[in-house]
Amino acid sequence: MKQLMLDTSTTRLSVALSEHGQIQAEATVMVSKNHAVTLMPMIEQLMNAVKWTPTELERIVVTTGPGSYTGIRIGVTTAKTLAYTLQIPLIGVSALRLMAAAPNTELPVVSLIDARRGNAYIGHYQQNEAVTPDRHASVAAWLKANITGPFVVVGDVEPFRDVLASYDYIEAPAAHSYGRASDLVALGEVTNDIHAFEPEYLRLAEAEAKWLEGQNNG
Amino acid sequence: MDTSLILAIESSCDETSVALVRDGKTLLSNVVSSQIESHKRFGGVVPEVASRHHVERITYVIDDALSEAGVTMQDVDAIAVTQGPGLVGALLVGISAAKALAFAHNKPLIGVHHIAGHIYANELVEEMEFPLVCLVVSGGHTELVYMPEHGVFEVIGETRDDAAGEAYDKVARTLSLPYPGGPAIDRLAADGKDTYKFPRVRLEAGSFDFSFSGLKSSVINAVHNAEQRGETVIPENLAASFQASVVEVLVEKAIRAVKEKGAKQLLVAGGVAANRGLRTALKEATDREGICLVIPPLDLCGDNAGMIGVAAHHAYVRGKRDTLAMNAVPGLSLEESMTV
Ligand SMILES: [Zn+2]
Repeated sequence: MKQLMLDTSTTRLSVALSEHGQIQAEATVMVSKNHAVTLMPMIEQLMNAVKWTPTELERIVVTTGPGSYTGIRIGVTTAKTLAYTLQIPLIGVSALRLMAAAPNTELPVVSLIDARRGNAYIGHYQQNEAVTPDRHASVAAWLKANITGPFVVVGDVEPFRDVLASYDYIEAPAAHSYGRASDLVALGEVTNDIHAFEPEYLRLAEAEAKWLEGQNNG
Repeated sequence: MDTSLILAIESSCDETSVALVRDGKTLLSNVVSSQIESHKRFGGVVPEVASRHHVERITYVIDDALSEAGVTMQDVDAIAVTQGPGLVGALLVGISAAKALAFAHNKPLIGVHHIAGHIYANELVEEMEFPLVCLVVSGGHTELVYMPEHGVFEVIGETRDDAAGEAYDKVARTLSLPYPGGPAIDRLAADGKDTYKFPRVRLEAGSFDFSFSGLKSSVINAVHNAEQRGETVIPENLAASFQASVVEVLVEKAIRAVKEKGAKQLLVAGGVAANRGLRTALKEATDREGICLVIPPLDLCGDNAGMIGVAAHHAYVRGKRDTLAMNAVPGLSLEESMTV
């Protein structure tokens, strides 16, 4: 099973190839300036390195977000178009789930993607299974409502150090704080409708949120 | 080399469109999935919402276009996509999909300028004869373009402030007309008379440039002044007066450009080319002056991938190829867009 995996949901750009569950190639840029420009050349380069042709691909795995709206759209559009045109299965994985898979631990893992003003996209996983659903929320409020015992935290820890201070948490070492595309190798389930496959933004577009508010206020 | 089968994608604004175009002449399919119903509630196109809809629809539209054309990806010679100008997030969806298709099937990728697409929609009506002049009028553009040959664009006049389409939208909002404003004003104007005699902004003698912000302000002032005096404006007459001013200047400058440049044809392109007032005035003026006028049919005036495929054919035969590192360029220049 020749599998292409990609993650473009944050500033990181990560692409990996696996065959029979073995990683064949991987490239990760931690601070990619422009996924639109780099993603396809990076896929092409890795494929050339292991001498695969596109039509040999048998499965595609992609992170569906949350994260940068534009970033996720580039990844999801690329993945769904490839899967559609090559007629191969497509798997979507939460970007927060991918991050939570990075540290090797039996403790619950909280993954954070900074969404500014004390808010974050928050994942809550234990051994790759979701404990609570992914959320866009105030980190302080979310921790209060969901956390009782010790946990490991991954991702954007820095902006939330103050709120985390009163909890019993372990920070994953830098190398295990962000998932890489190769960590997608055993995650997620095949989607049954590639056409309807969409990003998980976890937030409405601002205009849409305002419009709904207007509707609700009569 | 003059033959081609091009799969074209257009996603620069609020239409997700895919077309299959044979030899730059025949639309085997031209599927347009419009988002207009979704954006109506906001009174205009919201970029983030547009981008989201593009992702939701892109592969459906590709699939529909291929099956309607009765061809497979193996038959296709090249993948074309709008590279700019437009909304960057929206453009990137089309570009990502185009790259995926090009990569998966090892086909050349060709980035196309959106306005070049609008201009080339005319090739589906009548073969271009050079040199020609094209009047481009849309939501974001008001330009006079001189073409000495295929793929060569010289912008000889452009708007110094608002595009004609923008002015239409703003005036429509002042009159509380539903979105989109252009067609609404066009409909109203058909029942009104030019009673307000708004200024015709011609700028300095000999200039092919346009300016619509003054006119827009005059219209808004007329409405406000009437309100303050407790009078009601007659919307039909206001729309007719506004449209008469826009159309008169557009037509006059277009005709003068044709004469000065010795052009064999006058082409019209862009969403506002669907405006009935403009079409009628251009027809009358060109008939009177003995100028050959080419206007796309209504369904090819709006954004569609068919026009992108036609422009791409001419870029393809000239040898233009882009790499998988191609980026969206929201401010792409028309003049350099088909340079190999
Ligand atoms: Zn357009």
